[in-house]
Amino acid sequence: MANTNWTDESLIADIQRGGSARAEALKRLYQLPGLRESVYRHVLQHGGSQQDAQDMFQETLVLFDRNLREGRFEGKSALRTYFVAIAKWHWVTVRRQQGRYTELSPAQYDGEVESPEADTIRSEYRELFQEALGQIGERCRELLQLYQLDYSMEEIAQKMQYGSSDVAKKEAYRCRMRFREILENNPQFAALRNT
Amino acid sequence: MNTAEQRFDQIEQYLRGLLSREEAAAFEATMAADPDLAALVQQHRLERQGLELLVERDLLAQMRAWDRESAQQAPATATRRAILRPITVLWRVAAVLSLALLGWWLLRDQSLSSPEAIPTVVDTKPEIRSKAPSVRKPAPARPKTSSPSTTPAPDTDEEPSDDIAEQPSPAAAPETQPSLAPSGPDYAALGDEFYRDRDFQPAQVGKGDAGNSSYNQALDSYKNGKFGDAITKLRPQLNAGPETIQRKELMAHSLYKSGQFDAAIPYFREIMSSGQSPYAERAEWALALSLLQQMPAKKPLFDRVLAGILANPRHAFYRQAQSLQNRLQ
Repeated sequence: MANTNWTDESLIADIQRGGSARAEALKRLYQLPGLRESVYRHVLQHGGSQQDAQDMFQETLVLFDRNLREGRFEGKSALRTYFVAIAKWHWVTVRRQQGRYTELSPAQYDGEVESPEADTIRSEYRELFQEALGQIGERCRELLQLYQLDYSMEEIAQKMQYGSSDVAKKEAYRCRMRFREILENNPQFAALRNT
Repeated sequence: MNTAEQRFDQIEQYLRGLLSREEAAAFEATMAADPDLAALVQQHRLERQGLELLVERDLLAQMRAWDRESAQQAPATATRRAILRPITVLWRVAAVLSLALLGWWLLRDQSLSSPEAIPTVVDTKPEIRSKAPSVRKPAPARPKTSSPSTTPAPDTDEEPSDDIAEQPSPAAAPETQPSLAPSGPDYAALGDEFYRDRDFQPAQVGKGDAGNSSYNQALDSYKNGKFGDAITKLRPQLNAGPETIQRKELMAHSLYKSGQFDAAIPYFREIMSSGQSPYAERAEWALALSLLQQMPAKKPLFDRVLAGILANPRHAFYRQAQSLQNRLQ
C-alpha cells in the first residue's frame, strides 16, 4: 500500500499481531484514499447500487482481514490489488446468489487470489452459529472473540480481569464447550452436519 | 488440566498453526490413524468458522464507528472552510484590484509619455476575422463533423464568413474561456447512482411464439450484461406479439446500459405515452435518467421531465425524483 508510514509488510504484520495494532491497521485501510472508490466503481459499473457498493467494501474488509490472519495471502500482488480482487470475487458471488450473475472472465481477476466464496460459511451454518452465539452470554462472546483473534491467555486475563492466565484458559474452555453443547443440541445442526 | 482439556488445547494449537513442523506432522500422523480425533479436529474447524462471526460482527461495528468519526470530522472541516472562505475572497478581490490599479497606472503613464502612439494604432489594419479564437460550447451529445473555424483562412482580408461573424470579439474571448471547462456535478455518476436495476426488472414472458422466444433470449443476454446482443435479438421482433411494451422496455434499457441514451429516449417516450402501468412511470423516470446522462446539453428537457414527476406525489418514482433534485441543488 502506498503510504508514508507503513508498507504492505508492516500492515500484514499488524493485522496478524492482533489487538490494537490490527484495529489501527484495518482503520487505516478503511480510510485509505482511493481504495473505497475502486470498489465502489467496480460495483456501480457492474449493476450494483450505492448501498451495494458500501456493503461490498465493508464485507471485503472482513474477508481481507480473515485471509490475512489465516495466512492465505501469498504476497504475489500488492495488498491494494489483492483487496480489490477480493471485492470483485465477492461481488460475483453476491450477484450469483441474487440470481443476477454475470459471467466474467477469470482474466478480469488476479489469478493468485482464492475465491472468498470458498471461505464463506454456508448460510445455513451461519444462521445456526448466530443462534448459538446469541445463547452463550455476553462475557463468553467477548472472551471467545479475543481467543479467535489469537490473543494470548495473559492478554485475555488482563482484558477480561481474570485472576490469572490459567483462569482465562479454563473460562475459554468452558465457553467453547457451552457453544458446542448448544450447537449439538440443535437438531438442525446435526442434520446439516450429516448432509 | 484433564485429558479432554489437553486434547482441546492440542487441537486448537494445531489449527492456529502454533505447533512446530515436527509436532504438526506427528499430530497429523495420529489423526490419520484415529478417525475419532480426525472428526474432532473437523468439529473444531467448523466451530472456529462460527466464532469468526464474532470477529466479523465486531469489525462491522468498528467500521460504523469509523464512519461516525469521519462524519463528525467533516462538519468541523466545513466550518473551518466557511470561516476561511470570506478571507480568501477578500484576498482575491484585493489582488484583482491591485492588478487593475497597476494596469491603469501603467497605461496612464504610457499615454502621458508618448501621445504619438495613438495614430499608429489607428493605422493598423484590424485583423479580427483571422485572429478571433474559436470558442464554442462543447457538444457532449454528438461532436460536429466539421468546424469551419478550424479551417485556415487563405486570405484574412476576404469577406468574413458567417461562422466568423458568430465568433466573439478578441476582447470577449477570455471571458468565455472558462465555459470550456465547466465545473459542476458529475451528471453521469449521478445517473449511474440513481439508475437501480431493481427498479426496471424485466420479466420473462410466456413461450408462445417466435417473438416471445426472441424476447426471452434477449432477456438472457441483458441479464448477462451482453446489451449489444440483446438489442440485435430484439430488433426484428420489436412490434410482434402481445408483449410489445415489454420488448420496447427491454430494448430501451439495453440501449441505455450500452450508453446509447439518445437511441433509448424515443422508446422511453413511446412507453410513457402508452400510459400502461407500471411501464409508463418507469419509462418516465428512465427518460429523466437518460437526459441526466446528457447534461448539461439536455438540461431544459431534463428539467421538464423531472418537474413532471415531481408534480405527481403519487408517482412511483416521486421520492427518487425528489432525492435527485436535492442532490442537484
